[in-house]
Order: sequence, then C-alpha cells, then structure tokens
Amino acid sequence: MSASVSVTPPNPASVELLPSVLKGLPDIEAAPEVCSRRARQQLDLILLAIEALDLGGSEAILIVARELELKSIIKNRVQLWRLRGSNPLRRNSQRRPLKTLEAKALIAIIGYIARRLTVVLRQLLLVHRQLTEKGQPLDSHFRLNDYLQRFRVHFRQRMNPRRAGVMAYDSDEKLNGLAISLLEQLLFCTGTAGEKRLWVSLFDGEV
Amino acid sequence: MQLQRSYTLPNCTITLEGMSDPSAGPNLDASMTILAHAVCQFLGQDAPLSGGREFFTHLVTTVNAYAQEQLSGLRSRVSQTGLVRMKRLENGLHELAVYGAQEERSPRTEPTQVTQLSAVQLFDLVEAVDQFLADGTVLPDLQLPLLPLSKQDVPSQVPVAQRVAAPALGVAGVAIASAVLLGLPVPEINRPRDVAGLEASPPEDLAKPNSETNAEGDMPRADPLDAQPRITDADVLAEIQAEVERNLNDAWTESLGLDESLDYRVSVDQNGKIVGYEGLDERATDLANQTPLLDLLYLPPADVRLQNEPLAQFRVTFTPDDQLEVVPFTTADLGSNPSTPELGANGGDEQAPQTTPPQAAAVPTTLDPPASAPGLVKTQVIRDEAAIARLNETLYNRIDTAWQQTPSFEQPLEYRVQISDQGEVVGFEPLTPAARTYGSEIPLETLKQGAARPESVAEFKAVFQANGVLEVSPWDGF
Repeated sequence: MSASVSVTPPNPASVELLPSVLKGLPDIEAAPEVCSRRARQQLDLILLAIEALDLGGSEAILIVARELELKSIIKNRVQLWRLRGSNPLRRNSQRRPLKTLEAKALIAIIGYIARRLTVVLRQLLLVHRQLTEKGQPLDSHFRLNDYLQRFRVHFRQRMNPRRAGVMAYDSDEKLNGLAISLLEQLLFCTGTAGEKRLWVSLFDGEV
Repeated sequence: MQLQRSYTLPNCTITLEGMSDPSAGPNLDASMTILAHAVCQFLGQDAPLSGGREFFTHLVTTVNAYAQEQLSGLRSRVSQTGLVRMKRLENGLHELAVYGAQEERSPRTEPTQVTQLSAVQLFDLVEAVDQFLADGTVLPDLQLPLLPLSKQDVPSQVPVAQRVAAPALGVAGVAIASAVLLGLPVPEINRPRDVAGLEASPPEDLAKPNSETNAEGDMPRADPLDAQPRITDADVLAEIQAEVERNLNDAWTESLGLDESLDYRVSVDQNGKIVGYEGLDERATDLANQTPLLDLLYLPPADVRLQNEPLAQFRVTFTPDDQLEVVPFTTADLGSNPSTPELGANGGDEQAPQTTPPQAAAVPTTLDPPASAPGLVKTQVIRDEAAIARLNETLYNRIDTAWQQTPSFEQPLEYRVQISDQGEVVGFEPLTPAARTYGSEIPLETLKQGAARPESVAEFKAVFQANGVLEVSPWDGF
C-alpha cells in the first residue's frame, strides 16, 4: 500500500500537446508501449456495447473525440476504425498495435459517453437483475431486448467466427452474457475514478 | 472533535464516524484522522456491515481490488484474503463476506456477515469507496494507489486440476509406451552365413551391402553367393578373367614373400571389377590384406544394389614365387575349404557347369572333372637354356601328338604352358579370349591330367594356328 505510481509524461517534448482529459491517466511503470491483446479486445467490445445501446453511438464516438480535443490522436472516422480494428477478434483485424496513447484516448471517450448513459446503464442492469431473479426471459423488456439484439447482430457482423475467442460466444445466451458484462464494465466507467480504473485494469497481469 | 462523514449512493451508503486530530483544536474544516466506526449500509438490507478501522481498511482494499477484477477478468489474491472478502458467484451476483478479527487467523472459519450484491449495488459500493479515497479530508493517511495487477500476483485462472491434466497425460503416455516397448523381445542377431571363416571378428551387421565398415576385405554382401545370378557366357567369362588378371598383375607391385600359395575365391562383376573375395583357408584369410585384392576391391555406391547383378566366381592364387593364377571357381575348390560347407551342399551342382568355361563339352548338367581346369602352377621356373630347349621339343611333340582335332577356329589360340622337368604338362593358361572360347579343342587339359606338382617348371608359349600349325616357344624368348 505504500507503493506509488509515477506520473511520467509519454514524451517530454509533447507534454503541452497532451490533451487535458488524458492527464488523469498516468503512464504505468514498466508497462510496454503497446497494449495487450486483451486490452485491444476489451476496448473494442466496450465501444461495440456503446453503439448497441444508442443508435447514434458510432457518430457519438467521433463527436466526443472532437469535443475532447483528441483529434491529434483520433483524426477521423477511418483512424478510429483502424484503432478499433486492432482487436484481434475482428474479421478485418488490422494486425496493428494499439499504442497506449491511443488507448487513453479511447478510454476518455468511453468514460465521457458512459457518464451520459448512466441512467440507461443502471436501468438496464436493474431490469436484467429482476428478470433473472424471477426467471423470466430477457426479451420481455423492450429496451433490454433491443440492446441485446443489436449487440448480437453487431458482434456477429464484425467478429471473425474462426477465432477461438469468438467461437466461445457461439450461442445467443453466451452473447447476452457478454453484453451484460460489458454493461457492468460501462457502469464502472461512470464512476469517479472510472476511466482510471479501466486504464489500470488494461495492464493487469502485464507488468 | 467528533466528525462524521457519509458517502451516499442510491444503493449504498458509507458512514464514517471519527475524530479529528485532537491537537488541532476545534475546527470545522479539520480532517478526520482517527476512525472510530464505519458503517456500510446497502439499500434493502437490514443489517449493515460495520466495524472499526481495521474492518474499514480491509473493506476498502478488497473493494478496490475486486472492482479491478471485474474490469480485467483476472482474479487477484487480495480480494480473497483479509477480513473482507469478495467473490463472484455463479449467478452473476457478488458475494461480500466479512470475517471477525479473531477468526481471520484460522482457516475455514465462517464469516460473520455475508451479503450478495447485484451489479448496480456493487458499483455503488465501489463508487462510495472511490469518493472516500478521493476525499482528502477523511483519513488522508489511508492511501490506496491504483496499480495494475503484476504478473506474479495473478494466480492461475485455470484450476490446478485442469492445468496438471495435460502434462500428467503426457507423462502417463510416455510411461505406458515405454512399458510396452520394453516388453518387446530383443531382436536376435543372425550372423550371415557367408561371413563365417573370415576374420576372427566377423562384422555383425552385413545387411548393408555397401557399408563402409566392411572395407576391410570381408564379403560386403549378406546373401549367400549362390543367390547371385551367375555369368555363364563363356566369352564374357573369358573377358572378365583377363580383366581380373590384368588388374591384379598391375596392382601386385611388391613381393608377398610367401612360403605357400594363397588361394582366394573372388567374385567379379561383369565389368571385371572385384566386388568381393574370400580366403579359402585360414592363412589366406589372415594375409588377405597384403594381397592386391584389397586394393582392387570395388565397392559400389550406396544406392546401387548388387542384389541382382550377375557375378562370376574365380579362384585366384598368389604363389610363393609371385605368380598369379586366375581360374574360374569350381566346387572342388570349395571342397578344400572347410569353412564354407553350406555352399558346397546346395550350390555345387549348379555352380560347376555354369562357372567353368564350356571347354568340357558345354553340357550344363554334367560335372566337369575339376582337374582339367586351366591354371598355372606357382613353382620355380627353369632357367637353364639347355633344359628349356629340350623341354620345348618335348612339349611340342606332346601337344602335336595329342592335337588331332581339326581346328574350327579362325584366329590363333595362344596359351602359356608349364611343363615340368619330366616333360609333363602341369599348367596352362589361355592368353586370348579366343583361346578360352575354343579351349575344348585343345588337348592341354588331357595332357595336364594327373600331373603332380613339380619342383620346377619351364614355361612356354604355345600357339595353335587355324591352319593346324603348332608353335611352341619359350615364354621368356630365345
């Protein structure tokens, strides 16, 4: 409990250029420059959940990127697509690494959007808890069913079915389970230290 | 001064009661540095979780670690130890267990309080804790930096039984395989039969016909020699014999210093190359390396099989006076060799009519009398001119008398003939291929019959012309 996190800017020359939102995400000591496979996967899936929650989700991501002054990192739609394409489970996986700076930008966007969706997140998770306790099917609730269905469709559309990580989610129930767990993760991102928690958790087991 | 702080979330409220630093005096903005009591109340649950400083510290630590677990999916040890433990249940709920201080020491104790939290309740708890940690005015010394789980701290996410299964299966497989294979009998070593009689330590593995290790002069083939097809054509045999003689004479550059002759059975392929040889007695075997046979031994390359190549067998003799005799191999030669009895038994009948040149009436099924085979005798050569002249005439008369048959050949047949002091023909050797072919018309065999081995011989060259004229001249010239 007495260890400390050293806050070192990624590059002394570009300290001024670091967007303010990212300052709350300190660089981890002894962490590699690029993100792990698990990290790339997780970030892309969380963004996928955001898109499934809200019809305007994809556009919202780009708009928020602009609002948070992250244009230097995420220039445009294509760049965002490339960043998300670093997820190894994708059909057109880009095989490019995801730099920690890019991951920070994505997390900042995720946190911002998650906070805007706080009410929805809490509501859906509550409904899910109630339905499972009573043993009722999940499609009873319109909004929840909508989310789950959209998530399943997007997942199957974009993920490479030959990957072992994708084959683990071969049924609707399993995909629903994944969708709910992503909702929980999004809920964590709405907290006071939400983005920081997500950022640090990316390096669990890596350092 | 007594202070109370609360962090209220929809589902969870954490209330801290404590005191500020006594020395600071009354001050509304004082920080709570001493915690007296902490209460954690969840909405919808009657019994709150409560405790002192130690409880609260454990609660905060565990909740902090557990929240990271939920985000990364990697379990840590922190949330499993201490007074407050959390774990995820099968149904997706999160179980929070509080243990009493005394009970923490002994394992398998029952927790004093167990609560199950939904995702939203858990989040509210985490948020309350985060708000407390962010609050610098309450317990500022309780710092909990957010650090990623290091590699060492991540216990294996897969249960031990599953992890051990694969290597255990591998070890079991190796154990079973080795037990089975050890049960197999040790293969017997079958020494090839034609190796018997060679050097004292016959090589064990003659299965490789072209093995380098057999270059010491042993027969490089594992098959009995009868299995090889024989060269039966007389012309070819004659040519091969000439080739072998030439090669051996060329290679034989220094005297062997022998007291007695050395006899060998030599296998020759159709190109005249010696592919194997075998001493016909022990002494021959011992001294095989000194003969030029080893130098001429031709080992075909590894991918050429000698299995079905026709071979010719010759008997090669190195005499004490450094003369070379090469004659086709017959069963009689085998008879003198006690170490290869098996060849004589079954191969003899086939051998003789095939290997001896068809001078004995060219009937393949009859056995030829072995003594009629051409061959030179290795003894001292008579050098006395008078004796040579005398024997020249004797030989001429003898042959002339014996040669009654009208020659059917067109080329002259040349022979090297040895005649003893008593005027007996003791050895002869055809010098040309034609001589070999038409040897049946030449009376030399009959003349040689019954001749004992003489002390010394005179050597002559006998030429049988096609027109019936006989010429006999001393071998060394006049």
